[in-house]
Amino acid sequence: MLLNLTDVEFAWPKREVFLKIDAFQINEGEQVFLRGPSGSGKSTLLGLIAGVLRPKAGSIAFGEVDLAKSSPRQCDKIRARDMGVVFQLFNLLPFLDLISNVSLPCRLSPERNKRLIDAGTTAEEEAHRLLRYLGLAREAEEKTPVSNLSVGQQQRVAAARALIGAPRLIIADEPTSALDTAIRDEFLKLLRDECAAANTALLFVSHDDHLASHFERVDSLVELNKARLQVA
Amino acid sequence: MRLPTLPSLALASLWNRRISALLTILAVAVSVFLYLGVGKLKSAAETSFNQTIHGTDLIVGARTSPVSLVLFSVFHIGNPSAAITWESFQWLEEREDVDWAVPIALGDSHKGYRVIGTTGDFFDRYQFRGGQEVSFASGVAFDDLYDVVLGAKVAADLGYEIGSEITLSHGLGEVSFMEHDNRPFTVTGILASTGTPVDKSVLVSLQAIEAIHVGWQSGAPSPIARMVTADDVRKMDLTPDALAAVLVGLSERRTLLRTQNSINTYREEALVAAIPSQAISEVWELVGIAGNALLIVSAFVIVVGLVSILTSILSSLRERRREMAVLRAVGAGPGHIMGLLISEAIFLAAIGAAIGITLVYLASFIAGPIFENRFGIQITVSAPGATDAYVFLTVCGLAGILALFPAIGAMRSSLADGLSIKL
Ligand SMILES: Nc1ncnc2c1ncn2[C@@H]1O[C@H](COP(=O)(O)OP(=O)(O)OP(=O)(O)O)[C@@H](O)[C@H]1O
Ligand SMILES: [Mg+2]
Repeated sequence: MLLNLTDVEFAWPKREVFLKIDAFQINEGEQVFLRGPSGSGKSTLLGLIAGVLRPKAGSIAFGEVDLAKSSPRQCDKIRARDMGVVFQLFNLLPFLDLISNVSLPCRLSPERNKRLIDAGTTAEEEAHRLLRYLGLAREAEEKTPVSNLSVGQQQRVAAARALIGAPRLIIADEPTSALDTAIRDEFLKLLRDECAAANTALLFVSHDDHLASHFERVDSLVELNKARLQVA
Repeated sequence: MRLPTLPSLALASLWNRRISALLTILAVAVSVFLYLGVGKLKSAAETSFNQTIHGTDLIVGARTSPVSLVLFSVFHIGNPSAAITWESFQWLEEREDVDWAVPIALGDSHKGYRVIGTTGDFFDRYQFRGGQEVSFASGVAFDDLYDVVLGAKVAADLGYEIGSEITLSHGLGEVSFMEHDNRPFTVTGILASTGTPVDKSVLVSLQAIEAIHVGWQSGAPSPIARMVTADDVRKMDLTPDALAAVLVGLSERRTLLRTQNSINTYREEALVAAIPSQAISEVWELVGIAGNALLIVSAFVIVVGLVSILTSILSSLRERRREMAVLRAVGAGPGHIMGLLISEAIFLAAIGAAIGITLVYLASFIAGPIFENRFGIQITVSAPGATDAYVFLTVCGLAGILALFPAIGAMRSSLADGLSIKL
């Protein structure tokens, strides 16, 4: 098992418990679609899983470590080494070119970089390969400024950055909600295929139920979250 | 060239905002340049001011404050309220403990330059800047009653050469009431530049000072004044009756205080003996206030430069909040976010300060000779010293401390934002 949440409780500062999840698991390489309406706490849950937010109680086991018991520094390290994140928008650093944006996680995590070296490649080469695979070979070659890319292209670069160095989990927070249908489906397919190829688990979060049909496993945050039930 | 990740990210981010970064660096550079430049000028001015006169142990005048005595006798500013008699001068000169005495008489001006009456000893005894002696750029000292020696600036400004014939006027104005046009003086010597008030003096013999005044004793020309010829004057008794001051050199410096005391308590006439270095530093305390004020003002300009760093960071923060979230997502910690902002501030400050310091040295190298020629202020071009290091470190340190505020703010919001990007 890759991720195992048990009895996790989370509250924003000075608020009552907002998320209460008794059990939530993801296996290595598993692809999960987590749906929930806006404001239901999807981003909050992802923050907990990424080790950026800290739970009030419970454990968040990621691989061998419990993020809830790790120091913030360790959480940052684990995230850099083993996770990839794709946001809804504004995923890229405007002052870096495409290749530097994609290879950024490898620069922040020596282990992640080493995985590529061990596989006989480098962060730059792998960034080029991913961008080629995602249809951005020309943009990478021409060093197109990030701000000149379309939103769909930017999301693909973000996916490449999340995927580089074969992390164990990719967290995608509504990465397709700014894309139109055709591009959305294509993006989803590329992301899922590359995750499958690298045996990377994918936690895909969206309020858009149409996407659910692409996934074998679909969970609902509203059902998972026992805090709401208590309130209601 | 693979810099460690975070510094290289900070640099890339700065490069992305290079125009505003450049302006910020400029503000810091100019403020540091101003501060160090003013400080350098001030200490150079103080040094050359203190070195206006050298080798003279005492300056003696009629009872007045040492400051005003130095002002009129050395700097030729103002007039003595009372004069010393010739008898007192002779008494001074004959004292055992006095090695030499050079009388100074003041009074008239030539086209705005002070006319000083003295003896030929002046050129041997007057020293400045650590013992440099007055030297003649051309010609020789005055010998005849109607000979005149010019300071370097007088000669240069008025275009006089050896042999030029000039008239000396009565009174201090540039254009005098009535010129002594029937009394031509001849330039016999022009002094080399000294950077002291000597450059701006017209030097004649004591007798010449008297001669200029023949027939003018009442303050306005009596009918005789226009009738006496230059040769008539030669036959008169021209022993000066009023000296402004006497420069005194002692036989032995260790008697300084005793001699000073003895002159101060002279019974025949109320005299005051001032120690030049003391009196001059008293004068500097008055004059130097302007320099201190300027230094304080330029210190505030440094504060403005630092605030401009803060402004540039604060104004970039809103748009960079997303960048922070991205950095967090790829594994940067809150400490990294803080470090990013603080190192950016220190980097801007360091580049700015370094440019400022370089400019000061460049400027003193280029403008130094100009200052020395025009104002007699000697600016030494020395290797960057403790002051520069101190200013550099202070500016960088303050920038880092100021940047703590936006940095802590950014760290807090990046912690609170979690993984979501706030638009
Ligand atoms: N920094 C914060 N401090 C306090 N409350 C917050 C903070 N961020 C989010 N919240 C609250 O947490 C709740 C869930 O927010 P979250 O962003 O997780 O929802 P979401 O499911 O991701 O919504 P969306 O689909 O709009 O992105 C909201 O009620 C929000 O007000
Ligand atoms: Mg959200």
